[in-house]
Amino acid sequence: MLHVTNITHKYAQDTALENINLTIKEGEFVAIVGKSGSGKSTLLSILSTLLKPTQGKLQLLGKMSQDIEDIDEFRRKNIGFIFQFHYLINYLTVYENITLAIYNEHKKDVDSLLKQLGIYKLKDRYPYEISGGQRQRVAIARALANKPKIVFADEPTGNLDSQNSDNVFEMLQIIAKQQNVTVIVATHDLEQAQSADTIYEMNDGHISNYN
Amino acid sequence: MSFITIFKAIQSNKIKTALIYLSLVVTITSIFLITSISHGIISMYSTMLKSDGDIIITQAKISDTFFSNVDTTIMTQIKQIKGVQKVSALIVGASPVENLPIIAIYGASHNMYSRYKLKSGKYPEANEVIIGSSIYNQLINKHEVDIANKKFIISGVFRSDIGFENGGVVMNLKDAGAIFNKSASMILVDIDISASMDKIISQIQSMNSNIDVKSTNSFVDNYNQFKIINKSSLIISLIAFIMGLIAIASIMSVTVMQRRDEFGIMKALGISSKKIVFSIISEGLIIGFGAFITAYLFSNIILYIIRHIDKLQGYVNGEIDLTLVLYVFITTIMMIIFGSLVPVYTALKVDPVTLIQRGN
Repeated sequence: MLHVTNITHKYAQDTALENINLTIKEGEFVAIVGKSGSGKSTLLSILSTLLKPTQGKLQLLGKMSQDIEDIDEFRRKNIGFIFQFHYLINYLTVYENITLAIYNEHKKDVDSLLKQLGIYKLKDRYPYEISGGQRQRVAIARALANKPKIVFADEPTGNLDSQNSDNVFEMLQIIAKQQNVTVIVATHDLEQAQSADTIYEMNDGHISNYN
Repeated sequence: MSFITIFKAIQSNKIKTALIYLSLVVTITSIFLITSISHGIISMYSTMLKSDGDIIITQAKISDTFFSNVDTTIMTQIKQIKGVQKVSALIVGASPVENLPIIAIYGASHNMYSRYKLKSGKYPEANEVIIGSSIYNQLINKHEVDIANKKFIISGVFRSDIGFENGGVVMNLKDAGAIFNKSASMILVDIDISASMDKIISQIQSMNSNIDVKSTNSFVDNYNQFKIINKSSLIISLIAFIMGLIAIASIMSVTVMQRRDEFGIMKALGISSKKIVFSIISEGLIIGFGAFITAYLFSNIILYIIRHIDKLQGYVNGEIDLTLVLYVFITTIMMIIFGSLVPVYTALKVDPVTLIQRGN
């Protein structure tokens, strides 16, 4: 499903990631834990093709990232991304945000997805008219709308209270199980990470299995 | 991305939209006015020349008709040529009249008088003038005018559709010759439809080496003053275009900077750079189309007002024709495409996650 070899990434002189090697299987729920600045977000960005690594190789769904001809289309078809700050587009309604990049054949499933996430009644509202927890659910719906094979979530609960955090994490677990979607979550919350199939720890740009 | 999304993006960025709209309205109006007024000047002068002659004779090697001096004694010989219908002479000059700083003065042979349609009075004899209707009302003394320290009785008022004439003074050729110290600025020759123009031109040319004989159409096409006006107008329009382009590119750069996180998210969702560029250009084109319509209406209103300002004596007269509309429309589209393309394209070369981080 996902395989990285010797990934290194540098921001100017600073090394954010060093020699990362990782393999993630299909349908696996993976948590990457670590302190702020440990390199979790950079790793997730690279794994999801949102950032090109300075060095190393990334294999996604059997394809080497550098060999993918249309990376935007590949991302649209296979990858969902949930950010810490929902990043919804303020001038679009909840429904328009979710369907912004959706394939026509998936449009018919949006309503049931909204119902499943408990935000169906909010579909005509604008992001500034709903709460933080609701916005994050909209962001989850947007990430899932195209039925991706892998979902990346970078601190998806970092901006939420404990109840909303638990709800979001629970939803991600259900999705991973029900739809056989690979979910990779970066979090600093060890307690939440315990529910993942596999936990990795990031420390100063290095990755290791969490024991 | 749908057109609803594009419209919503336009609405959500009100200040940016207003700034682009205003820049475009000012730029497009400037291009419309500069081009139409310069075309108007050329059109008025060439219509004036074309309406009274198929052939025009000026002094050889003189670049401006104002400085041309042609001996009118040649007119008798020209009349003898087979196929010649009418030979007339015209002096073109300028002089202050009362408080008006510059007025076109025409000295015309008697056979040209009929082109000036009298509203009142009679055609001028010696020491008399007729006054164009657009300046007559501005004169304090409605009975006589002082031109080059000589008094002329106003024998009539005329009107002409040509602004340069309607804002001018017409006197007989001899009086104008005394003022401007010349025989005629140009001689105009009308010929039969069946006559060979080339043959008549070469016959006239052979009479005197100090004259330059051309068909009026060829004269108008090659007249240096028209070329200068055209080039000046083109350069000023080009400057207006570049200024508009810089303004749009600057506003678009700021807009793209402000919306980097939005573009980053779109890229993260898998929307292609092409589609994002298309949506930004579409936003620009929608604003541009509105600005174009406004500028077109605005320019027509300004031109109408200019035409009716007495102080301008009808000399400034622009018309916006279909060719100009098309030319300015294409210019507008180019301004928007080039003004938007570079900032957006530059932004989209960056990784999506960097766009999102920078946009924050």
